[in-house]
Amino acid sequence: MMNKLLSKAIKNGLVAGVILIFFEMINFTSTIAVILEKMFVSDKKVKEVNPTYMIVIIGLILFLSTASFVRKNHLANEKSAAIKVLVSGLVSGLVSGILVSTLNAILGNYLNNGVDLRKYLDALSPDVIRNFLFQTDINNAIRIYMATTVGGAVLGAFASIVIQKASKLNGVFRSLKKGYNNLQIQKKCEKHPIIKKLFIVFVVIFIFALPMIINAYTISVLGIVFIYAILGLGLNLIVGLSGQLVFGYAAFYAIGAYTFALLTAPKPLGIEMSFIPAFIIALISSGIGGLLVGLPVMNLRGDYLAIVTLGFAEIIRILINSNILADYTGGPQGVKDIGQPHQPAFLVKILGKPLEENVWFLYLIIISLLVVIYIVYRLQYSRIGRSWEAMREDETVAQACGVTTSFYKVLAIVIGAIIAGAAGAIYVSRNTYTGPNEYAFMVSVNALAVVVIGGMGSIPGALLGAFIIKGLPELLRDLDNYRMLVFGALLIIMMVIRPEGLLPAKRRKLAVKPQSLEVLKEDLKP
Amino acid sequence: MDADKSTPTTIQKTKVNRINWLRLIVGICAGVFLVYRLIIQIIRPEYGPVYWLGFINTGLIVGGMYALIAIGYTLVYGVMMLINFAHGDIMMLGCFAGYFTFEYLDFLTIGDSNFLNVYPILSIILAFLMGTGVATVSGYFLEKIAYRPLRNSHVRLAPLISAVGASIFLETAAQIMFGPNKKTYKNPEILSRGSGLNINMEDGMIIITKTGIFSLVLAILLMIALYFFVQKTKLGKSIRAVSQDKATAQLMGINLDRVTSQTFLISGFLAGAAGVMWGLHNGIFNHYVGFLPGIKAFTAAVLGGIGNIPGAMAGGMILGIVESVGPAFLGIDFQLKDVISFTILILVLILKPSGLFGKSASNVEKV
Repeated sequence: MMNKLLSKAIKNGLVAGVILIFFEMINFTSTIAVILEKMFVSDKKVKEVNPTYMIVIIGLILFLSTASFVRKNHLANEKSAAIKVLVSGLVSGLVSGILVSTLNAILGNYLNNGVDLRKYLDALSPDVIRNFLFQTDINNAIRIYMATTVGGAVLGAFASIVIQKASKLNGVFRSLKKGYNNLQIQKKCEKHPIIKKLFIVFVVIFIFALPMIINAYTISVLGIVFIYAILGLGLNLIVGLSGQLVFGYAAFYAIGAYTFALLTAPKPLGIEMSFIPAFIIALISSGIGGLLVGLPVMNLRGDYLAIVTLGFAEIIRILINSNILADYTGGPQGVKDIGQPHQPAFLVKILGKPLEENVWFLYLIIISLLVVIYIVYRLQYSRIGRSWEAMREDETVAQACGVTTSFYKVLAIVIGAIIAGAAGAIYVSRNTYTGPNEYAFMVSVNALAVVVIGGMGSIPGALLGAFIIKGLPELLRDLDNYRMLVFGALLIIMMVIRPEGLLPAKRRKLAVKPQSLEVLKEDLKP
Repeated sequence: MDADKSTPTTIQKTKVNRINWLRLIVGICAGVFLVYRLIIQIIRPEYGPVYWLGFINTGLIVGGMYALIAIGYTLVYGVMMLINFAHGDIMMLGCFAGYFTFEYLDFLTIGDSNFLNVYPILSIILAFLMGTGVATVSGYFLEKIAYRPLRNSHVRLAPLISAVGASIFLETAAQIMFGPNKKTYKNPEILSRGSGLNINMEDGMIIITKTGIFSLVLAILLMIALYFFVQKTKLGKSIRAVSQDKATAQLMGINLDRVTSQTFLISGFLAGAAGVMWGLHNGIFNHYVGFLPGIKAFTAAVLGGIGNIPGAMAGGMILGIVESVGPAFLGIDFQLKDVISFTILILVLILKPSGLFGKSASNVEKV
C-alpha cells in the first residue's frame, strides 16, 4: 500500500516538475510574476522580477497539484491520513524540487560561463535565467527551490484534508442552493414575457449607447469581437447545428472579403462600386463558394469533410497569394483603399454632425450582428433548423424521418458561407486594407474555437466565445505571446472537461447522456 | 454500425445513384483535362527529359517522407478512427531533436576536430535515435493527455478538436521555446547537402543528392520493417485486429488501451524519423515544418485508402511524384504545387472515397 502510494507520489512530483520546467523554458512563470507585481505594486517597468512573487507562483503550482493528488486518491478518509498525506506531500515536493533545481543549476552554470542560450532556447535570455535563480547564486537558488516545492506540496496536501473535513459546510451550501432552486425565481423571470422583453430592450439600448462612452481603442477591439461573433454564428450553423465539421471557414471569409475589396478599391481592377451593391455581390459570391464546396463534399462525413474544407481554404489562400493572379487580386501586396459606407443623410441631420468614423462603423457592425443573430435564431427554430439538428444527432434516423440530408447539408454550408462573406466584407471595409495572409489557417481555427468554447449550436455561446477568443487576449496584453499556447491547451481541456461548451444550447442540455441511460435502465428494472 | 451496413435501405440507394452522377461528371472533366495536357506535352514539350527525371527524383525523396508520416495517420485512424491532427507536429519535434543532437555533437570536440566529423555515422545514428525517441515519447503522451480521456465522449467532434488544440499547443510551444526564426541543419560532411552523384545527359545534368538517396533508402527500409512488424509480430496482429473490429478484438483478450498507446508509439517513431530526414535533406526548418507535410501525408493516406498500410506507403510515393511533376505537366506555376495536392485530395474523396487501394465496401462506411 505504502509502496504504491510512494510511486504515485513520485509520479505526481515528476508531472509537477515537468510542468515547472516547461513554464521556465517558455518564461511563463516570471511573466505571471511580473503581472502579479504590477497588480500589487505600481505599474513600474520591471526587469528584475521580485523573487517573492516567483516563489509564490512555484509554490502555488505544487500546492494545487498535490492537493488534487490527495483528493483524487481519497487519502483524507483513510487510516493514519496525516502521515500518508505528509509523506506524499514531501515526496512530491522533493522530486519536483530536484528536477527544477537540476535544470537551474545547469542554466546557472551556462550563465556563469557566459554562454548565451538564446540561439537555441529563445526565451532564456540571461536576465530571465537570473530571475529564475532569484537573483542569487546557484546554491542559494537550489535551497530556495527545494524549500518552495516541498513547502508548497505539504501545505497543499494538508489543505486538501482540511477542505475534505470541512465538507459538512459544503452540505450547508448545497441545501441553500437547493432552496434557491426550489424558489425558481430565475425560471419565473425567464419565462415571464414582460421581463423577457424588458431585458431585450435594455440590452439593445445598452449596446447602442456603448460606442458613445468608450474610447477609440475599446471601439476597435469591440469591432473585432463582434466580427468574430458574426463569423462564429455562421460557423455555428454549420458545425453546431448541422453537425458538419468545416475547418476551412476562412475560405468563405476570404471570398467575401476579396470580392468586396476588389469591387470597391481603385486598384487593381478599378471598379470602385459603392458599398451596398458590392456588399450584396460579396454575399452572393461567397454563397456560390459555399455551394461549390458543399456539392462535391455532401456525401463526406466528419473528419474527411474537415480536411477537404481545410484543403479548399489553403487553395484559396495560395491562389490569392500567387503571382499568377496578381493582376486581378493584387498578389502578396494585397488590396489598398477599400471602399467604406457613407453615413446616411438623415442620420447626420438628426445628430447635427456626422458620427466619428469608427463609432459609425461599430454601429454598422452591431446592426449586422443583430441581423445575423435574428436570422440564425429564426433558422434554428424553424423546420430547417430542426432538420439540421436531427441530422446532427443521427443521419440515418433523420433520413428515415424524411429529411433530405444532402440538401440540408449543402444549405447549411451555403448559409454559413454567406454569413462568413458578410463578416469578411465588413472586416476589410473597416480596415480599408487586406492581404492574403489575413486568411490563414488560424482564422478558421479561431472561428471554430469561438463555436467550441461558447457551446455548439448556441447563440449566446457564440457571443461569449468571441469575447473570450478576441476580447480576452486584448485585456491580457502581457500574455500575448502565450495566447495561442493557452488557447491550444484550452481546447484540449474544454473537450475533456466540458465538451458541450460554456453556454450549451438548450436542446443539447436535454440530450440523454450514455451514463444517465444506464441509470435509467437500472431504475426500470423490475 | 453493422446492422445498417448489411441492410441498405432504399433511401441510401437513391442517394448513391445521385452521387454517382456527380462523380461521373467530375471524373470525366478531370480525365479530359489530363488527356489534353498529355497531348500538349507530347506535341510541344516545354521541358526536356532531364527535367522530368529531376522532378521524379525530387518526388521520390519527398514521397518517402510523406509515406512515413502517412503510415502514422493510417495506423492511428485504423485503431482510433481519429485524424491525428497533431501528427505533423510530432514530426516537427523529431526534426528539432535531430537538430539539437547535431548541434551538440558539433560543439563537442575530440582532439582538435569535432565529434560530428570524427564519427559521422555514429552521429547520424545518434541524431536519429534522439529524433525518433523524442517523437515517440511525445506521441505517447499526446495520446494519453489529449485523446484517451475522450475515447467515449458523447460529443462526436471532441477528439478532433482536441487534436487541433494539441497541434496548436505544440507549434506555439516550439515557437516560444526555440524561437520563431528559421534554423539550418548541420549535416556531417559525408552527408552534406547539395552534393552527390552527377548524372550527365544530353541536355543537362541531374544531381542525385546524397541526402536524397539516404532518405529514400532509409524510408524504404523502415517501411519494409514496419510491414513485417505489422504482419508478423503479436503487436502488429493486435493492431490489425483492433482496426478491424474493436469489440471482437477486446473479446479476444486484446487490451485496447495498450494497443492504442503502442500504435501511437510506432506512428511517433516513424514521424520522428521522417522529421530528421526532412531536416537532413531540406536543411532549413522552423516550428511550422510539420504543418504542410502533415496535411499532405494525410492526403497520401486518403489516396492509398485510409486504414491501409501498404496503401499509405504507395500513396505517399505517388503524391510526392505527382506533386513535383504536376506543375510542369499542367503547365502552371511551381508556386501552386500545394494546390495540386489539395486538389488531388478533393478529387479522390469525390471520385473514390475508399482510396486507390482501399477495400470499397467497408471503408466507404467510414467516410
